[in-house]
Amino acid sequence: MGTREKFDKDINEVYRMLGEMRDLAIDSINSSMEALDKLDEDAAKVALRNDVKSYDLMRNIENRCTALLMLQAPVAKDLRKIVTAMKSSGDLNRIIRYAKNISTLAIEMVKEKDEHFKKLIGLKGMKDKSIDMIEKAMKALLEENKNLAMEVYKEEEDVDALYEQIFRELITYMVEDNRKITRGVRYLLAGRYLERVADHACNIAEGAIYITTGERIAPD
Amino acid sequence: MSTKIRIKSLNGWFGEKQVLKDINLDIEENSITAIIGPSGCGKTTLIRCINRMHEVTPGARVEGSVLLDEQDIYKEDPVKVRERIGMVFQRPNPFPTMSVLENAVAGLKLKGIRNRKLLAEKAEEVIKAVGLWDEVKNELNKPGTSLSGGQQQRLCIARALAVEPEVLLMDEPASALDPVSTMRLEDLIYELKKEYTIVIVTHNMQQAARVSDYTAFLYMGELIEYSNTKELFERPKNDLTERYISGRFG
Repeated sequence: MGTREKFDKDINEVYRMLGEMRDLAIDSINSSMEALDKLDEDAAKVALRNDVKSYDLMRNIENRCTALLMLQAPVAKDLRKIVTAMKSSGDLNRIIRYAKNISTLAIEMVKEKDEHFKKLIGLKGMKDKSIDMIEKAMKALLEENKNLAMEVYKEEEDVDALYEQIFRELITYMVEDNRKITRGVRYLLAGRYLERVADHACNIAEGAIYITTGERIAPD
Repeated sequence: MSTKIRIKSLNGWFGEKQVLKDINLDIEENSITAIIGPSGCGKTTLIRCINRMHEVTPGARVEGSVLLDEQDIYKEDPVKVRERIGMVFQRPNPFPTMSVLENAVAGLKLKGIRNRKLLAEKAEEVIKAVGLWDEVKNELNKPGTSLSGGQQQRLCIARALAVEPEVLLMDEPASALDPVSTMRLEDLIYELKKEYTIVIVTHNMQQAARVSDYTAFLYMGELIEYSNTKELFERPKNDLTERYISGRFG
């Protein structure tokens, strides 16, 4: 196999692993939100397991990229793809960490035999949006599609708006009844984690734009 | 920053074969400009046109102009041009019959300077300038060829500096050197740009990326892309440049 072919094979493998991390990330968010919604400890454990797998994948990507940088001294798009792969694997790993945090909130509520005082409609909306953003950002990254990446930025505003709405709503509940404060704070934390997930999806979209154009476009 | 060398519509031939095609390139003063491209693309010919060495080859000719400080060097005495624009070659080539010290000031002797004290002072100055003094101060009377490859190349740069040029052309100056000597040479080139304008031809893309401020990519005698080095290696505009620097051809 020629040097160039070897390089292409290695970089393709790195991006295949990123695809695997994306699947773990989406699975983790879905199951951790299900765990929180249904107060289901088993569902909560999915994100905990995925976190371990994701960490291994991230390290593997990092090692392969380091080797490519060291041995092949890549430039131009090759370089941009490697730098972006390293950053995006970090973003995906953080997303899974946030899902794990949501799972931890669910486990705490199960242990304390808590019940919900309201339906988690706003949080579910945030979850759907963030998953959509991850899917789009990763598709943009893998297919080098700038326009799709730009759409991710727009969706982040929706997630932020949902978070603000949840925040205001929960404050009213907590002011009315101080027995709801612990649960209210947990919902708020879950919202905060999902807002961070959307932020990391934006970072991935930024990487997709960088690969495609060589430009760094910061979100407004 | 101002333009030190302005190459305008430069064409070069070896006999019937055109090796440079309408090159237009402005080289900044006190900067390092790297010229990259596959073998036979015209890199060496281009820098040999900058100090009128191309025309010395039988059958070779040049059209167009090269302005040094806005004066066309093709309208001036080539010997004077080469005093202002020095050159360092691929293989270190100290004069074998001369000592280290004599080599350093060979150019001055050729100009007729005979004052021994002046020559010795100048030799020390330029050997120090290339960071060689501490290594050779006790071997100044040994033949220049007795030094290591890396030392010989720095001696050749010292020899070029002794005639006080404004521009230094370097034709793959590190291609015959080991990695440590290469690193020292690159450090030296970086130091020298404070006082000189440097144009370096290199086959080694990492070297171009490491040392130069600007990079020009030549392909089949044409200037394909010229921009600041970071830009060219991070986001080349031309697909040919992208493919060449990524090792997809060449």
